[in-house]
Amino acid sequence: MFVDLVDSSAFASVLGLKEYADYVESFHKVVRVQCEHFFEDYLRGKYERGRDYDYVVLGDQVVFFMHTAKPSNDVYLLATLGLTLKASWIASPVNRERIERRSAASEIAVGINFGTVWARQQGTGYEMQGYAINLAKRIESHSRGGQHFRIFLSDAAYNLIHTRMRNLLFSDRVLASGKGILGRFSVYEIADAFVDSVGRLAPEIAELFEELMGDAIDSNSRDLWIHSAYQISSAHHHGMVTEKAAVRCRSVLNYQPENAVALYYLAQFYREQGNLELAEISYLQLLRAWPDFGHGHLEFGKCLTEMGKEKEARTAYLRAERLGIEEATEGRAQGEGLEETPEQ
Amino acid sequence: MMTNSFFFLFRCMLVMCAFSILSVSCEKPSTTSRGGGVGPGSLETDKVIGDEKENESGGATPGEGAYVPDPAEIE
Repeated sequence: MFVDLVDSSAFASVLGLKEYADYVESFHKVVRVQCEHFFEDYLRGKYERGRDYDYVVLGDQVVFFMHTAKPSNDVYLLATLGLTLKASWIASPVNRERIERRSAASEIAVGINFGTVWARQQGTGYEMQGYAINLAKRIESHSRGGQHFRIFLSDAAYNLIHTRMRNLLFSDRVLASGKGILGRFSVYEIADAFVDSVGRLAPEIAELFEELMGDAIDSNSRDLWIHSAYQISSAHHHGMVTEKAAVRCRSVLNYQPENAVALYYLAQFYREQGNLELAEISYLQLLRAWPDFGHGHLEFGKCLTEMGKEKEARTAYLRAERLGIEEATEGRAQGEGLEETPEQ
Repeated sequence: MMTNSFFFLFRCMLVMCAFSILSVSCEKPSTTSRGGGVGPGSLETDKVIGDEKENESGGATPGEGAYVPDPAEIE
């Protein structure tokens, strides 16, 4: 995984030498603190640096390697780590100041590839070379122009996780080209994520990020990934979708009508308020835009069951089952049980 | 003798009451997973968060278990 500061050259050209050095050092500090927390605290030291993973910080970029016996999990961990690094960078002093004056935050872009490399043991780690690394770098370069999370996965990385995940939604395949890469390569952008970034952040960073989320969402309509992080964090914190969160969902849907997190949490809000007809409309919009979102079909099935629409609920559960959502089988069976119960 | 037995019985009842009060006050709130962000706890098992009982339909209010599973790791 390559993680890079977007537009760092522009910053270098306008900032003085010391200011730019401080800017880059701020990025390094965020990476060190968050990575240490992610691997040592959040993952409870399960993975050893050097043996299972490693990272190298070089100027305005960081390169991560994960190499355990579970490649799907490696890709997933890198994707979620990438999300938390984005959140951590937003909470950095550089971006706090920018957000407070309603400027767009300085961003980071992420490219993830999976492939074989040549590794030479060096001390406690490895020195790695290979085309897979070059391709990951090109994917990261491409990711700066992303329209959603600016986290792109290669074909190989995407194929490892997309059928196993319920909390990551991807854009359609895009063909990209890059310097030194023959022909074109396929990439997929994370379009939305039901990932609790705040829960994965170092506590001191989480506190700052939570304070900034609202202002960051209000000041910049481009970085809707912050809104996604906000909705998930808010729902966890309150145990429900609050009125304030629902207002933010509606606001986001004004400029991105197919935003998955906004549609999903708005539907949940309506259900929690007992307004099932509005919930149904939101679910229908969500699933029209994201027909492969299995969990969406599951919750839609539950909503329809609550409305007494058993036949439609059964169809929703079947769609969820087809997408690998095992809980849908139970929901469908219960619905069929209710249909078979003779009326009193 | 009878007085000693009575006091012994009384003390036993007091101890039982004390245990009951302690067990009620120490009872942890149910950790209903909302299907997301369970975090490191999920490392210990192979299950994907969201396979737990909170996803049973019928009887569960929309707020419970209505959120997308967000495992720390995947198999």
